[in-house]
Amino acid sequence: MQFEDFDKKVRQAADQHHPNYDEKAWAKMERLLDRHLPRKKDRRRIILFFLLGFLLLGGGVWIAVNKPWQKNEPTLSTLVNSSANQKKQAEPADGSKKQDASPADQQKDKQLQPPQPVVTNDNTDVPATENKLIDKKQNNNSVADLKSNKQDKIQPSSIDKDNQVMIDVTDAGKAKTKKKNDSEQDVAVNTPPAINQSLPDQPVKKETVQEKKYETIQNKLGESKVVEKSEPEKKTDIEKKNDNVADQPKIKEIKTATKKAGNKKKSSLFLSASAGPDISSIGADRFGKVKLLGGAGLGYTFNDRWTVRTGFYTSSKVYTAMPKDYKSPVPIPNPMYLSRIDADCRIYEVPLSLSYNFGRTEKRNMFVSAGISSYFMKKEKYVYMYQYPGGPLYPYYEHEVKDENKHYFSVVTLSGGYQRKISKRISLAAEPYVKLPLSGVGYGKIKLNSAGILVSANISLFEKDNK
Amino acid sequence: MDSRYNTETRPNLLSAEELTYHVGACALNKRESQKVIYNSFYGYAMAICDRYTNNQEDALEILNDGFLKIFKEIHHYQPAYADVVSSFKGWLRKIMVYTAIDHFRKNQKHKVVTELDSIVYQVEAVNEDAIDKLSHEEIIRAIQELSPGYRTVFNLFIIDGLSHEEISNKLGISTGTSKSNLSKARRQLQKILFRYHQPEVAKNAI
Repeated sequence: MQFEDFDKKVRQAADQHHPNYDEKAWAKMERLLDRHLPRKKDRRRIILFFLLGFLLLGGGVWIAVNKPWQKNEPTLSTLVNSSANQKKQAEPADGSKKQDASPADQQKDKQLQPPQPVVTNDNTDVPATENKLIDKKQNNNSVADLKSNKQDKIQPSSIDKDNQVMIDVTDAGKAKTKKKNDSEQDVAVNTPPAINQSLPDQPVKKETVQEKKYETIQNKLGESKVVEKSEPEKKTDIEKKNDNVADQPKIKEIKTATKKAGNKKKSSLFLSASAGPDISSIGADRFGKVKLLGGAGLGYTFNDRWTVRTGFYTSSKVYTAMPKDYKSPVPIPNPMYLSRIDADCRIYEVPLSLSYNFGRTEKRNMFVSAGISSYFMKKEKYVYMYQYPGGPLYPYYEHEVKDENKHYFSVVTLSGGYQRKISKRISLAAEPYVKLPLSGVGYGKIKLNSAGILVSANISLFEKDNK
Repeated sequence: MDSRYNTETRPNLLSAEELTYHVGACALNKRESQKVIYNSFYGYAMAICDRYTNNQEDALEILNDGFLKIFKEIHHYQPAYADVVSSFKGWLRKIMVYTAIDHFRKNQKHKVVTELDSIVYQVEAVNEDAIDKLSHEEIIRAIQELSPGYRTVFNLFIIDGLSHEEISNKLGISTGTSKSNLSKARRQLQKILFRYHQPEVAKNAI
């Protein structure tokens, strides 16, 4: 024991010895750590970041190239008007025959337009009032547009039965035709003068029907005048039947145009602003506080059926976790007395979802949606509540984590909704949702569920107003 | 480890909660938390390491090697008792001592005497007044000036509280050799201290 005092002095000296901190020491330590305990780079984040960037870039390039908002879908009115315009351009105003029109074009014109009255030129010098020839393909309108007074009656005269079609006119303004010869192509229709009046002999000019809106009217003096055709008063059965036959191609084409206009689905890009109540829970029985979720989004609709959406949303998650739910990476002191953990987290959410639209009308539609979200834990605050035997529950300590936990594509979102247009570009949508985690989130790796209702205002971009 | 040693001679920079958090973060290889723990316990650990060397570079090498072992094994660490900080310091101390031993064995240039000779060295007691006049820095400096083998045994037995059996196992020597080296370390230490305080120590020098 002789050295006890000396040994004690030495130990005191050792306890009191405390070298000063050397900043360079950490630099050497860090190099050692880099060599033996290198930090793993999360390449997955970089890959996902670049993948998302490429998708957005590709989508932007596609939109810029195709410019879906500039495509003019033909409607029925535009189709009919364009046909009328084409007809106007193709035919002069006087209704004369267009010499350079191809047979196919002529045929097409005839099909599109109701038959026009023409003055035929044939070899037979037949009084115009007594000769009525019908174009078998351009029927009733031209014939039925005869205007005459009651005094006008046409009696069948000697006509070339082989080359003409007999017309029976019983009353003024009415005409009946009978097809006799299918080879007859042209028709001359004149408003017949009074039967008892003698008419100067006039050669009946043969002309092909060019103009649907004009007809040649011959007055009592035999002067021909081209006037705008009036509505047919009544059609005979044959005329009606011929109408149906003649109109079928036109109707068919209009229907096709209508169908095309109807089948042309709209694709559109839209922005959205959303907000709504959000509640968190652990399991099905422990609910947290209702908090507000809000954010902005971007979406694109394909063919009125499918919509892809993404955006940026922020919300607070306030909940209480039991020790068994909370998987701390750090050993918790005195875990046997830990009663619960009160959590208050601010998160940023980036969702990516696909919606299917149905029940669409002009004003509204419904949709169902499925998606996956990434959670970025901006700030996490955990209060550890302890309770010792016989003692009260009290906050043992608090723990804050900032910008640390990031969970990429870790939460599945299921939702359905109803959207209604309130103007040409703006629509409102209500969307109840549930969010289910694929893995634990946050510092304690909690399996945190969320539910709520999102109300959105969607604004279509690049939408043209139909005039 | 001898429980006589007071590990709370200096205030801790980290609270129990902070230490718990950073220990957990170090288990996840978080560099920021590793730096916090390194800075907080640098002085405590260096005080152990530089007793086993006679130069700053070797002491820093032992220190960094020791912390590297700590960070590698920290995910296995569990507090031995309720006082989280004291538990961690005790664990850190043990690792630093073992690292110093490994360093000594790796760099052993001086052979440790393996057998005691038959001569029993009589060492006279040191005067208490002379002891009181010794400063802590002088004692530490004097320990650093000891021969490596003597210094290691002296530190292990006197300061770190290992038994001769433990020392013999750690160094690969016999217990007799351990005792012999301890005796020689005392003699050498007194001579060094005599050199520092020649007039006072000379009165009590062996």
